[in-house]
Amino acid sequence: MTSKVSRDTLYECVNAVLQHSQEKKRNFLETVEIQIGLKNYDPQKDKRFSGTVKLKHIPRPKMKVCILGDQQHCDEAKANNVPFMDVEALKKLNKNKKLVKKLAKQYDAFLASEALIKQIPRLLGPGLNKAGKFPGLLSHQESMMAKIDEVKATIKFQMKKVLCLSVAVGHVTMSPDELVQNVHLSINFLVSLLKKHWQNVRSLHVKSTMGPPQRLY
Amino acid sequence: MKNLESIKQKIEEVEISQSDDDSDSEDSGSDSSESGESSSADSDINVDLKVSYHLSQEKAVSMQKIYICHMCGSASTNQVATAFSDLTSSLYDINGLQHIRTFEGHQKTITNIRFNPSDPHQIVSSSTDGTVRFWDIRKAGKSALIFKDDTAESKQLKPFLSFDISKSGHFLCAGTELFDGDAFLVFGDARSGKILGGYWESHSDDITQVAFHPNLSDSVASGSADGLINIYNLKSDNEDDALISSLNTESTIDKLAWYQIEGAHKGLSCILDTMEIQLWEDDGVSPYSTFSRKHISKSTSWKVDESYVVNVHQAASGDLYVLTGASTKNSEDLAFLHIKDKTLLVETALPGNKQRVRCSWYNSENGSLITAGEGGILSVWKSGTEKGHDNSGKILSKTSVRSKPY
Repeated sequence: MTSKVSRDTLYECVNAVLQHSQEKKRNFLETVEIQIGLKNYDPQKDKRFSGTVKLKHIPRPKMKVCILGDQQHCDEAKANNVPFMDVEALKKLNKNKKLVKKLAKQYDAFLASEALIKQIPRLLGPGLNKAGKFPGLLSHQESMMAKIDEVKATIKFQMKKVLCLSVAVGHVTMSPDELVQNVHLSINFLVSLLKKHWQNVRSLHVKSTMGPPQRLY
Repeated sequence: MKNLESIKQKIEEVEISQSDDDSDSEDSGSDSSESGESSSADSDINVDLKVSYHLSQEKAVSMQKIYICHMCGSASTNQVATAFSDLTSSLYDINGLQHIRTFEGHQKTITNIRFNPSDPHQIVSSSTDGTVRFWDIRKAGKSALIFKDDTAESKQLKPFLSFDISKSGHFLCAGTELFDGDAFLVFGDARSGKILGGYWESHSDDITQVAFHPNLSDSVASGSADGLINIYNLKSDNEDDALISSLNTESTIDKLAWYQIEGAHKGLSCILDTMEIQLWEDDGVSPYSTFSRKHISKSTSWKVDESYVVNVHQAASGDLYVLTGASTKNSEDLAFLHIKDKTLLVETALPGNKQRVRCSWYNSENGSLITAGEGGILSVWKSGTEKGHDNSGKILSKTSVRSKPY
């Protein structure tokens, strides 16, 4: 990417976004997103442009993750102040659609222990599926906190019918270095998936939720 | 739309044993980084160990700029059907790639094409125009049957991104784009075209793939942009009970296919939009094998950013092969990788490839492969060397018919 977007330009751009958010403070934490405009790409015949990527720094620190855990995971969650539910708690919902929907709304994502994840359709029905919040797997081979961080650091992108795409890659209280790293990683990743790479990119912008877009490319 | 009525059909009893196989599938770093070129007909080659493929036939069947995004073959009639980006489809004889017929009628992008598994004279295609069309290959003209879901209040048709027909030929199952906030899995009678019902609570995004279970007529899997592989038991009379498993790929799904594995379960191979491969057991909690794009390209020595994955195919031996390619400045490379446990070994290069390949059909009976893609070219690949002789003097391949594409 350095040949297309210099390190200096990247810092300039990121700093401009941050500065703008400082000048006009909002009463919520503004997200920073990249906007990529494509060219020479036909959504009707070219391969779908979509997927997930893990960033280096957590873009959404306020993301709420709930553990649907076995005994061990519930204990660990409790010790770490992470919200959790065990099998019994899930059974109490009695597959009630309204309650499951309510649960889905309370959290941004779920992680489930191996012992539970297979039972989710039976215990809860398709409620979490419908909400787009079916749990990811939490195994005993990895640290719970690390997996939660991984979930918080993973972003999803999807281009549907229009030739531009917006992805949240950070927030305005991140350091310029952290933002630059996240922007750099996401752009490189997205471009690597395009058939003609940079020749498929018409423009790149970085912006904060309420701020004006700053052109990067 | 009413809920799905129970489909009364003879079901195969399958013993499902409690599997506690939760072997983690960390992407193993051990690849064999053999070069992508297969060795030519050298005298010492043991043809059992390393099969070379050669381009047996090739034909430019459309103008460049018209892509072939979907295709399927029929081993019984030795024919192949292709769906073009110009909204038409065509049928060819595999021998000689003779054009037999063109099918016109879809109003928007064709999203999948298959032969009816119970009727080799019928081709079926789905489209974002909201129809699944059944074509009789013996007759020119309009489609024999048009299936659509116009049950929405607005009367708007739901755009189909995927479908499959049950082995018996009785049922059609089609997946839609997100439509008014819901992603539908619509069921129809494949003989009458009647809608039977649908599910709309199990996926939260476009349903990109649908595949009936290879043996159980009442089991079907769906893959979605929401990252889930859902497996349903259609004997149930409501969606809540029908959803048996949701396998979370934690990404977005491009291709999904069943394959045979040892034991009572079946495998599901999944290609993600980010060009990674996950292999799942149908009752798994996580993929038992994962191959990242980096791992796949390392096996071929192609550049990561230039490589892509077309399909995962299963040979008669049961082994799985990955069809992968790379678009470089000067070439379009293509190769078969053999999946061996958690490693990838180059099985054979496919020399002579001229386009970015988007779809493929593998005939496991004779090991032949057909590829098609963005150059509008149909290529037939056969094992063995072209007009070659092995050391024993046996002629390995039949005469290759190569028509100049340009």
